[in-house]
Amino acid sequence: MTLSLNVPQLETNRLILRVPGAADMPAMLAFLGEDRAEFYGGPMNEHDAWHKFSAYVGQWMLRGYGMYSAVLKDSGDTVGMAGPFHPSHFDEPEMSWLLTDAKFEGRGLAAEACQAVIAHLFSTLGWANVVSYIDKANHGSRKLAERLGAQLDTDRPSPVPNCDSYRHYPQGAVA
Amino acid sequence: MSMYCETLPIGVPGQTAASFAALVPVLHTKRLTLRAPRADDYAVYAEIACGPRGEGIGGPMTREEAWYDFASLASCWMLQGHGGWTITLTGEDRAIGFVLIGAEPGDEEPELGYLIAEGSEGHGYASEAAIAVRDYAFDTLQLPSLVSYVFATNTRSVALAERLGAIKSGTVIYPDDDQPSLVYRHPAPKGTPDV
Repeated sequence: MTLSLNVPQLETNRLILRVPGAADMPAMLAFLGEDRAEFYGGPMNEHDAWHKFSAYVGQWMLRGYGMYSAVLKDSGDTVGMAGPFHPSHFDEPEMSWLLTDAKFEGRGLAAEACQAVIAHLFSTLGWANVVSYIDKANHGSRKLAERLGAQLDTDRPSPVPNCDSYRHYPQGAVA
Repeated sequence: MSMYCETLPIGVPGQTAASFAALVPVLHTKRLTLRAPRADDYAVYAEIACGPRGEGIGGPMTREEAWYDFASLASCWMLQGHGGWTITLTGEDRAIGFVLIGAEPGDEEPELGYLIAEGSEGHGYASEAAIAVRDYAFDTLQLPSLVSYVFATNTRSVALAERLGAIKSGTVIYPDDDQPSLVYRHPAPKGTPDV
């Protein structure tokens, strides 16, 4: 029997955001094997994809926060992940997001998931701000960061090559 | 303090991490306590995985790779229902090694893996921990079989597998490895090899 964490789910109009588990693995391994995963270290073989997804899950147990899986309420499909990714080589947690399949793009689902997670980080966890590292060529994610109100942060450059730091602040806070 | 240092989370995340740790069964042996892996054990894991001793587990690894590998010790509990333990000396809470029941894609059966920090070698801690976890795998988890994948060049691990009574049964090559692994099959309880 697998263990499960007692972490409150987040809910939006169309999505349930929950701690990732075995049910999300097929969608995530498929995503990491495709060209669409180029900004997430992909495309990679199944072995590496398993390790990457496994690290997303394990971070929850080690740090007590992590990327949520975003599941469509009406179909149960894992449409993506969103939340603070924090491997050991990052000095601070990084608000990250992805959609598992191109068919989920263009519907505002990533924005919906990110807004709920970021609000949770600020209100429940009390974080003062959170950064996103976005590749200069990842135009879709840059657009989304701007739509979420994040600001380019040149004072704390990204540890990831070819990425800019975008910093999110609570609404109304002065950067 | 090494560059790999990680500290325990505090506040709400600290409670979440602690609630996970409480779900992992604690195993006791004569000298050892095996408990859930925690963020503050990572420095010991990375020192093994990122150094020459990491060769036995597909390394030496980068700091990034070591984190992913370490996090998998924890995630297996949620993905597979068994996973990794941090090995500590009873009475001390400090990590001296790690032991794992895990299965990666391509593994046909669960694997028993073990790692001991350099400073804690030569005391039989790895075999003491591995025996406890092997017995837990068969007696409590009721796993039908258990193997260890060991590089032939990893003489220390080969010796330990044989000391545990595991029987060599073939080889396997993993996609990222440059050499085959020997498959050691652990005997089921009462000494009956599970073939």
